Amino acid sequence: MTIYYDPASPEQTESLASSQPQFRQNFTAIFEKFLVNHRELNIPSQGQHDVIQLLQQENGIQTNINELNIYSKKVEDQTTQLFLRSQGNGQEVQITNYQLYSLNDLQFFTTLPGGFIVYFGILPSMPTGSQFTVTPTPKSIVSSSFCPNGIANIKSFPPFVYYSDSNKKTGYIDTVTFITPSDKTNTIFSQFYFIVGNFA
Amino acid sequence: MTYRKIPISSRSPADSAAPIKQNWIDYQTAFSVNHTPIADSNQGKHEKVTLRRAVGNTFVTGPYDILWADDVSSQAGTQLQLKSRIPQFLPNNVPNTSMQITYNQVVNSGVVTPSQTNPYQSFMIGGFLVFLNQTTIDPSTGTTVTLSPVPTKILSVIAQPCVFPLINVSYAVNIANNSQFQITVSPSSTPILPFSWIAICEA
Repeated sequence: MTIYYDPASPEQTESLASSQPQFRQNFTAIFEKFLVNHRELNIPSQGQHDVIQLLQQENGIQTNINELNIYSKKVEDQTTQLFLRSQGNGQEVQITNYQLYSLNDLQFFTTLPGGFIVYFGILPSMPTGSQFTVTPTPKSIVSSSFCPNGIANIKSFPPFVYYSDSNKKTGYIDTVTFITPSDKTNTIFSQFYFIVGNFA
Repeated sequence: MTYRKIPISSRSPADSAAPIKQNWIDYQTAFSVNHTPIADSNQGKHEKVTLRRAVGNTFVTGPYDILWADDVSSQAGTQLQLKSRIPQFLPNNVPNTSMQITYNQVVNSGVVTPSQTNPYQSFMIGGFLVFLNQTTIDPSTGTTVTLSPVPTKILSVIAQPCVFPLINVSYAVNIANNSQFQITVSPSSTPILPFSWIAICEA
């Protein structure tokens, strides 16, 4: 049962005796509401936090000097995301931008503050001209690095690459096409990859 | 100090005044933990946030994000880490799992010196460790790099020579085990080469 806190009690004209029920209710309400996110009153760790639930804000939070704000805000085309703003209304930085999940045993992704997604893992050997589309889809691939996976031999070169839009109409540049760097072979060596995409 | 459920009905108003006042004092004391105290112009803001290991519900059921501390197992053992969960986002057919935000160690000291051990180390959201350094590679034998702290699994390694382009010199990285990888160069008669590298691992 929710106990309501009444900040107007007691009224000036009331005797303390008649205010007693509301007094008790208010004290009980404070006790219960303090429990939200916090360790309860009357224990050694009272006031410390169990969890921090950050309700979605409509706009970025203003910060004064000597303040750092962490809060949540709705992001267009996403959900409620975690933000950080440094002191004196400094730059607002988006901390989270995607729900992490497992792709498979060889391919992974995570996020960097600022709306970036980092993709990394291992790609198998493939014919020249093969394509790799990153998941989840970024707005654009910003950078990519490749390194041959295995023991060095005359074929173990990183590939030349170019980027394109897998759907050819969304404008989201999410695909890497591999071109063999020499005319000695038509096969791309298995590669470690590290690709950064812009999601914001 | 004990926050009391008062006043008690059997007591007179006069008797209740003192414990009521004490309740407000005790509440002010409790509120001052982690928060700017009541009656301060910044009252209610946080001075710091001490997160106890979460014992409550950490699921997200509305438009809000949640932060908490919880035990996470890694190669280094079980340690308390900062975790976060955002509202369900694409794709909708996978669980909205929590995200590990922190790791309990970084290595960021000294100067960049080619070395097979003691790499720089940081972390990324999701329980991923990032190791990076420069290493001198002996093409005649290849060079093994050892990561510390020891990760659970090496997931990806990007290495590249820090020299002018060399004609017909190739290289590759071979993962030896959960904490070591070897950089090799072909042909093996190539002079010793400096490489820079970055390794992404599961913590």
